[in-house]
Amino acid sequence: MSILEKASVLTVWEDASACGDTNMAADELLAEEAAACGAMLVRLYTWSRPTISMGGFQKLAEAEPLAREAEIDLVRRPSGGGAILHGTDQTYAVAVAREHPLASTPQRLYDAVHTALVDVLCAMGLDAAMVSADLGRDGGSGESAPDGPLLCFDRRAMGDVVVGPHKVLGSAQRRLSGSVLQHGSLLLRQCDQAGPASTRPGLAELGPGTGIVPLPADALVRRWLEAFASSLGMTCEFAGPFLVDGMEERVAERAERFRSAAWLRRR
Amino acid sequence: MKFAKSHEWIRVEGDAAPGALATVGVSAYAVEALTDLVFMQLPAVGAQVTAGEPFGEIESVKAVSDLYAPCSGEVVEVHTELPDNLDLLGSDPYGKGWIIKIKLADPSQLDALMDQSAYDASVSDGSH
Repeated sequence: MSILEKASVLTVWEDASACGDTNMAADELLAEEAAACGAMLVRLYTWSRPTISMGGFQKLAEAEPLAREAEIDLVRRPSGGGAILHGTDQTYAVAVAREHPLASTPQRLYDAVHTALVDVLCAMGLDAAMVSADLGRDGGSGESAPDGPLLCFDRRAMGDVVVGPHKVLGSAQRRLSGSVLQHGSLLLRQCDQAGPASTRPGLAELGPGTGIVPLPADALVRRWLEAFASSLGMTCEFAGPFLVDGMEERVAERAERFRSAAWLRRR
Repeated sequence: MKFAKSHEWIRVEGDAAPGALATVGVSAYAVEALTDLVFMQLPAVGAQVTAGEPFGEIESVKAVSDLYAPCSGEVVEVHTELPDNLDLLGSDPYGKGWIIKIKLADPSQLDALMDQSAYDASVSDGSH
């Protein structure tokens, strides 16, 4: 593929579900690949078991009791932000080389990905919007510091996607020397896995009257990414799984770090 | 004062000779771009830092970013009060917002860094 072709195609990898350490390692590898090839890459994935992914600097002591009580997995992300209860969400990762204009500031990539979803949800009749700057710090239900509310979906940061008052998409970044990795969680339906205190409504509960997501989840996600690609003057190419032979071995090596006690207990 | 492409600055006290003391921080541009800073992890005194390699991490509302050493050397002082006073990075990035002080191992590494005008040009034309 030529450089010009590469620049006009947004490659989207769609993986089967995997455990937390594998997913984090795969995202990190995606970022490395983006730096190496200079292109923007996207990976879609889900989780083989209900899992809490906590932010890179959140305190383990605050997330561990919830995971233990609910008997679900716990992994620490390389990115910031609050803890996410995965199980009924669609998780994405986008990686872009540092030279790309969207990598220049955290907000630019955040807004580009989130604006595309807002457009798609509004076209479906949902009352979707992005959290504004003033609500991001002061008017939301919690500060976004590592020691703010434990759960990402209880926090509000500028650019978060809400339907009515409910947050349905939150993202976080890891800014590396060669690329920027942004991953996030679109809450498709509420997850009851960790009890009522951690249950938040997803798109299925917020749809217009029907109580179901207006489109099948995979169609909605495709439409979202196509809108994102279109906003950049690109077209989507859905390329199958990222975790294939060769790549799986590289991910397995990296996954050891995300499994290690030293990583999990870093704070 | 010199700047790295990754937005850290370094200021040498006195002559740039091996063993000279140098102060390291992050640029005002980077602090503004990262928006609300919420957490910072710094190295310990005695740690060795390597030019171009991470020596710490900083978290903003949306992102965790590595801090890269502009030059190699030994960490001789750490601004330990900074993580509890992150506003100093925004209010006085080149003064009270300093991060670490290192003993320069190889002053010739300074030659690969940008001066203020070159750095300003790089961030204004988006080549950062």
